[in-house]
Amino acid sequence: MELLEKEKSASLYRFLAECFYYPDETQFSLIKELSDELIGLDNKFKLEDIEIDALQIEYSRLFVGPFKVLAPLYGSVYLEEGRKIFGDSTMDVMDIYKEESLKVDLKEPPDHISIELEFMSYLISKEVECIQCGNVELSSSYFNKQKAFLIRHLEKWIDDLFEKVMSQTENIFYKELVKSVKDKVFNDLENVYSN
Amino acid sequence: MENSNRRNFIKRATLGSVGVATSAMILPKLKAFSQMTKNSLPVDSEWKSTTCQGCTSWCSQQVNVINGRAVRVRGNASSKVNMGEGCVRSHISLQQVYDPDRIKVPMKRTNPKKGRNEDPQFVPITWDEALDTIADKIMELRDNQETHKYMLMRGRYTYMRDLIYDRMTKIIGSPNNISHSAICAEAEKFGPYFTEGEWAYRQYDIKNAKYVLIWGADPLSANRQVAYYSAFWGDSLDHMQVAVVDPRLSITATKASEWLPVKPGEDGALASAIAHVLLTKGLWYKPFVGDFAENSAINRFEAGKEILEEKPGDVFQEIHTHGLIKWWNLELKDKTVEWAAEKTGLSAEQITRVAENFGKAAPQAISWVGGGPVMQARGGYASMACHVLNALTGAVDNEGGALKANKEYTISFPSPNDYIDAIAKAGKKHKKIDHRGRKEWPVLSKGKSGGGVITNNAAEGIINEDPNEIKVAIAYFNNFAFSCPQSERWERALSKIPFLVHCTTNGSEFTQFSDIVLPCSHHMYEKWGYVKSYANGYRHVTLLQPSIEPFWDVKIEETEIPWLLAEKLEKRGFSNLLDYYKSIKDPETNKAPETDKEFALFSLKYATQTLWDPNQYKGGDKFSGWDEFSKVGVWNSDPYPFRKRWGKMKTKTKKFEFFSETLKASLEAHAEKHHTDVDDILETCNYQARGEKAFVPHYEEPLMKGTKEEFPLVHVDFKSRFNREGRSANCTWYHELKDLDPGDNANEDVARLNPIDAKKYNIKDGDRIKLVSPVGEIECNAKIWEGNRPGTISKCYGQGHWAYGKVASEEFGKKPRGGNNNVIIPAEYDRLSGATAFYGTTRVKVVKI
Repeated sequence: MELLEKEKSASLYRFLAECFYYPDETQFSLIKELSDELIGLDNKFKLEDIEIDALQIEYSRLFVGPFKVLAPLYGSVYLEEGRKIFGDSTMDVMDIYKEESLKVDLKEPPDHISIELEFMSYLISKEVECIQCGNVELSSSYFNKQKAFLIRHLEKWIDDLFEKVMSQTENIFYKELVKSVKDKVFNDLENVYSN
Repeated sequence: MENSNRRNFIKRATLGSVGVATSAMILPKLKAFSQMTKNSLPVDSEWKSTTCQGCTSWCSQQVNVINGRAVRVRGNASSKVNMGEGCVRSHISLQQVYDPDRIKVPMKRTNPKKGRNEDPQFVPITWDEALDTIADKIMELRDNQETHKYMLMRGRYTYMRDLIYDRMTKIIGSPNNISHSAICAEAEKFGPYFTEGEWAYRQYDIKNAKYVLIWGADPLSANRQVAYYSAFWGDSLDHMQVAVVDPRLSITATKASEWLPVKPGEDGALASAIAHVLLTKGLWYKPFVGDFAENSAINRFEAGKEILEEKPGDVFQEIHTHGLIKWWNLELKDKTVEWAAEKTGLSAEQITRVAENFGKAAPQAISWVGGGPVMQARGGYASMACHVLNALTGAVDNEGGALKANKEYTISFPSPNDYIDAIAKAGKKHKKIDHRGRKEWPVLSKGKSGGGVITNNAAEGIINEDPNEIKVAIAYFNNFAFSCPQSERWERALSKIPFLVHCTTNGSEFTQFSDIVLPCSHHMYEKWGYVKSYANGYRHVTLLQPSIEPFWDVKIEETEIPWLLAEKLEKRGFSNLLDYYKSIKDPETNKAPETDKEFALFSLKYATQTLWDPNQYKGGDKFSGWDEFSKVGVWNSDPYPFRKRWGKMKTKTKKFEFFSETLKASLEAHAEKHHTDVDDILETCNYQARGEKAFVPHYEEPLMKGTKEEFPLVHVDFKSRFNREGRSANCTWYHELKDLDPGDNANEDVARLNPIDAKKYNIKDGDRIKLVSPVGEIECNAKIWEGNRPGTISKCYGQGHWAYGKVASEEFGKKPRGGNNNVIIPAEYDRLSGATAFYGTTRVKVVKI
């Protein structure tokens, strides 16, 4: 993969991570701006025709509550029995972050989708950095970590999240968002990390 | 990360070759992460002391935290109350704290229409926005001098409660702090207060008891000190017999010598008959009660025969009691076993056997009064009738008997009086929204007219704007729209409040009607606080301490939230609340709190200083300082001083009162306040007693809604060993293990019928049925079960949520999972104590769906 492609990939993971945060006014404008600029996005994914109020209500209904979270954004809910957060899979994610000397600084469990997507973006960026510094061994290690993380985590639950969102909402933005994440993860696994 | 930086990064990374080629060294600033330092590494594994509030046992517990995650719990071995034991509820708490449906951030309602079928359309907001909005609403009341239209509703609590429940309400200027106490078990305290001057629950000395007679309590499942009693019950069965009075076969009944499946609401008849047996057979405990005078012509109690005394003591010389002969004459002389057998549906043989064995075990013979017979209309008198047996057997304050709480030394928060301004003073003078103290609501808590709360009647006050409308309300750790009988009234009441704030861990039925919802700490894992409880001859004060770092943006409802609100009020020119809070300083450093977090910790250290500060030591366990106390997590009192209260009780006569001069004075004071007599008060409040009978423990017929013809079965409500009060329903373990409540099924909500009734009404096991009462109907499954008295239908409380989370409800707002008993229980009361009636309160019919 070209360096530029890798940078694009990092950007796309990071952009997708941003899209899963609550769309307050700042976040809404940011996503809107980025989606305009980001290469390779479908028109449907843009926010021009979407009212912020409606998006906020829909986001809350799907991902926050307060009554029943229709499509929880936490890996453990899908990966473990008992519908819980902070399961063993969450601890595994934390351990992986810890290996990179990272700790989660958000008021969210570490397997929140935004955090996992940002982590992918981080790993790719580190790989890019190493390539640019000529450190082939380390860059290859970051590449392998990306693959391992996708396989151990995102791949295992992204489809379930996709199904939940698709069945619970008519909102085009969030439908397209989960579709994009799913496509990204599975395309990468097939095309980038297949070897 | 700042947005501009983030934007720059992505732009560089995506827009054209120039940016990409030269942006090689530019790394994204982290948004979700920060770099780890050595200090930020969590400790691998440690046990942290805290407290379980899954029921009212309040066991001291420890949480095993591994890499920042709570993974298991155990009883705190340092507690002399729960003795290192725990129960299933403490384990269920793990599912609660890690429940994905918990409220994660403050939220506001965007749909102004309120109702069960209106989607509130909540959206996240910041704490600042939430608190600014609340502060504006409170200031509006203050500006308009209508602070009495502010209301604080409290459900479960720690003893930090006074900071929000009492002090904040008073300083804002409202009389309307409404607690949940009257839907808990206030009537249980009525009997002990008006006989021995203790408005409190009791502890029971099972280590030394020989006979335990239990009334509508299930100590191996619910009620108090479940962990302690469960752990030591087996050993105690070596030396004590147990008889359980309950219309359904409770867990305790399954391990008892006798099960007395009484007709609901007839406990008072059984209690009076047992007293009758103890007296007529000479089985009362003479060193406590006394005996017939040596020169008296009358030397025994004979059924049907009044005993005349020219002056007290002529015939019977009491020692530590008062009014035995009057009680005999007014109530007991005709309450024969045969009479009681007819009333209670029990056999005369069983009543006699139980009464005699109970009496023979005196003084180690306990009468253990639970909610069953007393949380009923007219239940105050049943509370007296059952409790008073402890005096006949001499079990009061005695080894192997019924004990009060040991002394403890926690400190009250400072008086708020200096911070209550003229506006607040005027506001506080208004009458309360629950109508306490009115002629029809004596609510004689601690003997005072209007001295207690009538939680469930506050709904009527709000709906009818009587005595005034409520404009702004804050509620915490409660769900009155689910937990109060005839709960639909609360839906109407809450819809009517223009601005309602709910502080809670989970979005519940109550939240549905709120304008702002504030995410709260889970008490066992994320909160500072303390509670007190007693058993095993000791009292402990046990700390609630944060053992894990909260992963969502939650705050402590009794300290952090009121502090943050006080800061907002101060910014609006009203600093009294913040000034008051700042007066509560850290006892170790004398530093005033400057943040919400400091306030939470300092106020706890303040309240418990006498327990941990060696310079302030007053008794019980001794610590070297706060750090040691915090690590151990629990303080234990000195051992119980048996028989110290004999002759020194806090009653009018200082004696244990069979004829309650204390109740007489209270009722007369209430009557005088309303310019009438006691008989008129009793009639107004639906009691049957007239004259002096009102002042002795006695039988009153149950007051049930619905005719036998239309509603043939009596509804029996009970509590589950899995209920963390009403807060377990979103936990999968609750449903998966529900068959460990005898008679219930896993993953179902069932109403249990005796096979005799099932045949009569053509109901089969597993049938989908409706339970219909005069006030509502619920759906559940039928279970045919022999452990139910024929003529009754029993169903556990706890399910039937239409909110509370994915597991708890079938379809949010529309279809509950199971049925909530409170939908079919009418709003009825024991008006003398204010207690809400849950048991023996309604008849139902079963309709097959």
